[in-house]
Amino acid sequence: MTTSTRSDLTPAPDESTAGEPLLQVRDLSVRFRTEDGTLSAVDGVSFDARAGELLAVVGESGCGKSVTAMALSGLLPGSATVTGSVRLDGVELVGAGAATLRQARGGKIAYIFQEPMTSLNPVFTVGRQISEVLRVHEGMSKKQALARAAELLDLVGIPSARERLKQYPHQLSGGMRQRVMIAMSVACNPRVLVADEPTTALDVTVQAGILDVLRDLRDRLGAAVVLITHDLGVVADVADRVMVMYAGRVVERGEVHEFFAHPRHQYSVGLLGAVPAARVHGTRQRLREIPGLVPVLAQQPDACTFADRCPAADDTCRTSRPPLTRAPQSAHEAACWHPATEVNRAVPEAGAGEAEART
Amino acid sequence: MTAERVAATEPVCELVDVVKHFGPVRAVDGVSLRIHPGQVVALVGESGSGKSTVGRCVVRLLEPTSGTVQLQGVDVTHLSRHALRPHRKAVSIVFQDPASSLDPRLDVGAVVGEPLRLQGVGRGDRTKRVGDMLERVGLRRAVAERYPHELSGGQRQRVSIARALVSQPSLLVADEPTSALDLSVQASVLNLLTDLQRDLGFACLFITHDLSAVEYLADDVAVMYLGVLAEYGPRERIFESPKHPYTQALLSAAPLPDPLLQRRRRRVVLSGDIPTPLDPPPGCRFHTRCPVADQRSRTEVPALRHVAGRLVACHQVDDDGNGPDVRLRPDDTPVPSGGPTP
Repeated sequence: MTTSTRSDLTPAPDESTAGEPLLQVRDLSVRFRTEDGTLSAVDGVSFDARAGELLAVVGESGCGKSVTAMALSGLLPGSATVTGSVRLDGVELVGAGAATLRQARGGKIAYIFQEPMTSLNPVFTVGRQISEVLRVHEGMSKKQALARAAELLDLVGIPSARERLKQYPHQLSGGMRQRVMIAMSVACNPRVLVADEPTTALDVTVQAGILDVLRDLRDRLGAAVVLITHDLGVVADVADRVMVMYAGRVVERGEVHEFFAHPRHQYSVGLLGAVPAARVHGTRQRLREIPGLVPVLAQQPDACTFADRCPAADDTCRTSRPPLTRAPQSAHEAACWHPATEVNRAVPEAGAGEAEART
Repeated sequence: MTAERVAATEPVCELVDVVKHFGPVRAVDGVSLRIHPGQVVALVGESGSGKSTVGRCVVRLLEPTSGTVQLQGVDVTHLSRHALRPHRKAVSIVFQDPASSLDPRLDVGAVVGEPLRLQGVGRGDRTKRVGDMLERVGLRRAVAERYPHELSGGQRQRVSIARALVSQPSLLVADEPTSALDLSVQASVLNLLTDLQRDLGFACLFITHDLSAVEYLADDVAVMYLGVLAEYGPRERIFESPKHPYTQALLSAAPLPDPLLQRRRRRVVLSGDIPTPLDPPPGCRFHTRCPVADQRSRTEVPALRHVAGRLVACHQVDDDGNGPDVRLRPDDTPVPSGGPTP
């Protein structure tokens, strides 16, 4: 990464100053038609992604985080019914025509998926695949596009970028392929970058480098990054804000330090306690288990969907759906009738390593 | 496990200089490990390090190219399938993905009872022991009549564990037993393994890339890189003062689920990826990615030697355990802690 590439990657005047967030999602719901009837995958999800900010979407498999990501720019198959609103830079994408969506994808919103090998075409060189994006979207000549592709590889930390352009995906390692994917994704200076488990298939020493690239894209290109992950360590490392999903709903949302220090939803408390961590004074703390499974829902009930697995659930939880509400004097929201407090959570203050010793 | 007990007992499993090549692929290139009764040894490394191959040599799913594998004092390295049989029940294995390691055509009772059937245990006795084992792993006895596809991922992994433990092995090889599971399910499987290990007293070779699970479970930690051991010793020493630059990098790269701590740490980003075992680098195998490698690292293979209460294979570490810490910049003051947890 050289300083010379920085100047021409400086973002256009920032939309965030204009007030409206880059990506505004309101009441997004997704239902699938299946052989066994309909299935509710995402239910009333709302969030904003702002320029220069990294939003982590957290949850276990089946919580709807990937479906939410795909729904943003109409990537779901025909069996899905998407309702609600997704406004990208002022343009509505839910129900938009193919031309609008095509313009948005690759241009304003770009994706990085988990497995780079299946997302790259094995029979074309890396240079050809990146420059194709630039020739289609930006109308560059072949020569211009290749020069720019080399700059992009440099940006994502691939050494000897010019030589790499001539290589095929199979000649690259997993970490390098994921960097190539990121280079392709950011080729047209997307304003919103959606990264769905981008490091899950990679080793930790390689993961650290990819997270650095994401951080860098947020800071230098001023992109809004939506990072979907199940790894709370990754969230702690790079996120500015956190959104926890459970069974298709947003159950908690807040600033990252607030979230780790004072998780409010009982599900978040459970997740944080499930991470194996330090033996305190040589003794092994038992890990917190969350009994049961994420439900597969045909209908969204008028109840808390976590109630069946929750240690704090009572009749209210089973008969009435908790709305996302703010904690006093804070922007930290949770959809829980009995949010965790300092007393009932019995968690040591964050810091000095004790925060991980939750039981 | 205390030092006295370790000294007094014969190891359950001892590997001496085990080599396993697949044609030109040098997957494992001389690994020695010793596992004592009741001890949990974690074998840690990234994909391609050869850790799973070591596990398969231990249970003799693979026959080592050279070196020896001893189970309870018996050399089983080159025993034939037939000769191996009596030793099979001493060691079992749990794989990463229970969906593909359980036969979909057999009901759970048959899956779990199979090791007993092969040992000639009669039907009645088998049914009882299978039921008991299912209860031990937190499943109802009636699950014996269900098929693997009817169970959740966590339940299937419990079935795999039940099958592995039903013949009361003295060693369990657990190869990434929680990696395919969701976080909340991982916690319950780790708790289960901890409880069973404490109650039944088997030794365990725990193969994983998940360092937080290692710190949680292991007594000893062996760090593998490209077919060889980089560092091997008691958990506290490895986590508190890792000596090998690779161990240091690995521990520093695993993010902590605590933003305050995580953002204060210096992480080592290694350049490139693990090289191919088709053509491992000469000298120290880590030298191509090592920030402190020198000429000697590039030409001379470092011996695994006793330093500061563990084994380490690095030219840069002297006999008193002094050596570089790649987690520090030249102008940094030392950080108090090395591991994923302070």
